[in-house]
Amino acid sequence: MINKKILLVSTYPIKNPQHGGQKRVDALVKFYKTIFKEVRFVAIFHRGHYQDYSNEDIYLKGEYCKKMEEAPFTGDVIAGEAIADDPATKAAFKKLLLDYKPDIIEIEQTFPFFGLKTLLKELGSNPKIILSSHNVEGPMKDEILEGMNVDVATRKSIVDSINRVEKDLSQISDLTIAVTPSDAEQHAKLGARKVVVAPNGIAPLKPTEAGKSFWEEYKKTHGIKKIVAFVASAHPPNWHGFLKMVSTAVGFVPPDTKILLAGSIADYFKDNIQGSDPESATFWNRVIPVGRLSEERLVGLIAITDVLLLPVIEGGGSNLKTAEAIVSGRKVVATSFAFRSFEKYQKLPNIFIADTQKAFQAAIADALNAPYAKRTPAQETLAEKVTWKYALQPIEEAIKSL
Amino acid sequence: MNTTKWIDLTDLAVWSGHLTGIQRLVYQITLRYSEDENVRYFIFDEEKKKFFETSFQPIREQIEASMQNQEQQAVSVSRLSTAEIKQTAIRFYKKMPESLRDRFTPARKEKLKKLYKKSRQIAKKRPSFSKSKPNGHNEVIFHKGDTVLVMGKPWDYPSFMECIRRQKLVEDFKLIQVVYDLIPVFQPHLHGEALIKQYTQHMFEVAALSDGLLAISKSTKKDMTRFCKRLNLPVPPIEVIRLGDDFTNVAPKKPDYINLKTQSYILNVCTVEIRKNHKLLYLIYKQAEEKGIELPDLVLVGRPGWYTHDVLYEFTHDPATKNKVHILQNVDDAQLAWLYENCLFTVYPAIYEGWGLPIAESLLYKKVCVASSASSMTEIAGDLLEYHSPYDPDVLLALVQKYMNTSVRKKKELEISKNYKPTTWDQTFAQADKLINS
Repeated sequence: MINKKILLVSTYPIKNPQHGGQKRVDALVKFYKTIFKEVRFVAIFHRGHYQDYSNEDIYLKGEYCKKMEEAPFTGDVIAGEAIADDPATKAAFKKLLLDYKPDIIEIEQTFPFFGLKTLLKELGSNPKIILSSHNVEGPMKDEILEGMNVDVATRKSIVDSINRVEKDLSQISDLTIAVTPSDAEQHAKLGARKVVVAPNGIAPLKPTEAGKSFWEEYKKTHGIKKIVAFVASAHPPNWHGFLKMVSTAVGFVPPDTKILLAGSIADYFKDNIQGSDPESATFWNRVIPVGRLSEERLVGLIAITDVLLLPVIEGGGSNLKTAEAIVSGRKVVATSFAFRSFEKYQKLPNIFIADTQKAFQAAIADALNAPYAKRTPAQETLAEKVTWKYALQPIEEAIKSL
Repeated sequence: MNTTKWIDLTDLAVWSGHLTGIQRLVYQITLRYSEDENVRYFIFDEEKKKFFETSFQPIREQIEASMQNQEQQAVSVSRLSTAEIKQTAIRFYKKMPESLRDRFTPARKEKLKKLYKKSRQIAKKRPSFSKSKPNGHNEVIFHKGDTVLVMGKPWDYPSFMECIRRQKLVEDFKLIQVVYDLIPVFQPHLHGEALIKQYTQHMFEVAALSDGLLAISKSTKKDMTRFCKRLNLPVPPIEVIRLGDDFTNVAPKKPDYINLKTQSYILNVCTVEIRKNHKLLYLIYKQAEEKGIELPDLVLVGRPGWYTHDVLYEFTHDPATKNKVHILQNVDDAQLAWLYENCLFTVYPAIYEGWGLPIAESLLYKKVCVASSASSMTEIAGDLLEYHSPYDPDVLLALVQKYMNTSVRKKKELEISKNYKPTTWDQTFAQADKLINS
């Protein structure tokens, strides 16, 4: 047990975690509770974006909420800046620091450092700093903004400021936790002094009978024999990947099969695929947007699905969905990019890798037709290595030496 | 093993009066299967989302009686279910041109609602056709080994293909469907907006679920193949059938309300809708006026359809055309025969077609048809006719001038008389039956 107090800060709460970032931070908090004397977590966030949060989280009000609504893809920067610039947020955060007096502050995904740096300076506080990287954020934001057709000058200004803060944070951090070796290398180039790689992991899936029978009944009422599931948030790289690898021309999906969109990705497609051009008009003939699901239903869906999709083509970090897919044991159709930092798992049975749209579509058809191959005990043991328990292990030693 | 052939008669069962192209095909093919003891018939009930067995005989009798009378009969309210009445009314409203829809003031809509309520009361008192349970009216479940033949307009029934899909999940019977065209998909600007999405979704399932398709032209086959490839659908086997054009002979009768200045007129027979390209006809009359060319009168036979409010206004208000262009509606077969027999020649400048029956009809009357070169239209008579781009008034005007010359026209008529061989419905049936039995 480390006899120190650690505070984790992020721009989203982790109560009822849904997206990958939330799940990783939730796992870190749980992991730290097994190794630290005291652990606290605080989120600076917009209540309109996250309905579930704890009493310790600080939600933004008034002008800052409006700012985030006007610039949805830079909300994380705005939330970070609020720590120093928004009087109400600053006061709440200051009180937390003065009351709790953390020995270590872990900053999730760089963004809280936009304001936290100033506040710490003002307070004359010098805790140890950990940068908990989920991606290299500058290039990632650049890709997102480009995808949103944000004008070059605005994009450059936003990305430059993120690059600046990320570099600064890498250099001053006592420890940087990276998700992949490639991200670790990037942070080292930015000047990080000590870097440890802790890949994303997954909590072991525990489907309930109720969770599974819901989907069995769903199949009956919708006249479906087979399900292909795409579980994702509306984070732009997710729909970029789906559009590029699966496409909206879904005639290759057999008539007895439906692609189910689970998570907020469903909202993106519902909002954007409405036209009467042939692709848009027929997209919903083979795709059903089931939207955000309770944990029980989501785990139930993964347990009964015939094929899980991982059409990942961009972004840093490693994909939690990949780990989830590996643990599930279901048939998986993925890009090789989706398996970065999980390369050794590609050899497990029921995993189909394809890197072009045609090959990806064909792989879905192949996976649907292929018999399910049972894993050997050794393969089961290998698959378990992607759980959080194993994934976060390298952090413990690195933190002890701080 | 059961090898029943099931024929869908949903459209024919609710249709009365003059048969249009689609109903004619359904009727003629069904007629030729009707002696086969392994053939049975079904209709689809959109309300119940189920298929029910029916019999062909009462439908046949009604159609034959209708053909003998040569009378247009309105669909009998007493034979429709309340849902069908409502659906028909909604469909009718949706298909109306914007200009007509605008004329449905709240007061008029209220009147229509009252009329609808009244018709519901009548319908409730009398058994509807779909509820009359001909032949026991059993629910139909298709089985492995069965062949299901769909030749009508199932896209009017939004649940039809979903019910077929669900039945196919249980037992994989053979499904054969006729494809008329993909105009709403690839030429959406030429079609009523309300049906485009529904039609596209329907055709997607047609391609995905059918074991074979019968396309009414090479052009439609090409479009269907293009549609499948674009949407990553496997292309099912597609055979082209040629529609029969051995129409019933009726005694010609001059329409007494026509007031032609001379007997010299050009004829155009089709719904007056945007796709039929009446605008091009208007343009050649304007161009002729500009160049000092005297053209014969133009007789347009057809009901007003989509998006032609403006061109109809031009035809009827422009001093250059208002006394030269005659727009006729509700022309019966006898009057139409007279119009064909007495015209100089016909024009058919359509922008897109699944086939183009009026071209064949013109040839049956041994009349030259100056036709559009688009889509299927050159397939009907090949080199026997001369064509123009549907966007080129210069070529159309030149061809019209060419066939105004009596000797040129007579020579071409003789050529048509010698070389044009109408397709019999027996020939169409033989082509269809080949795929159905393969």
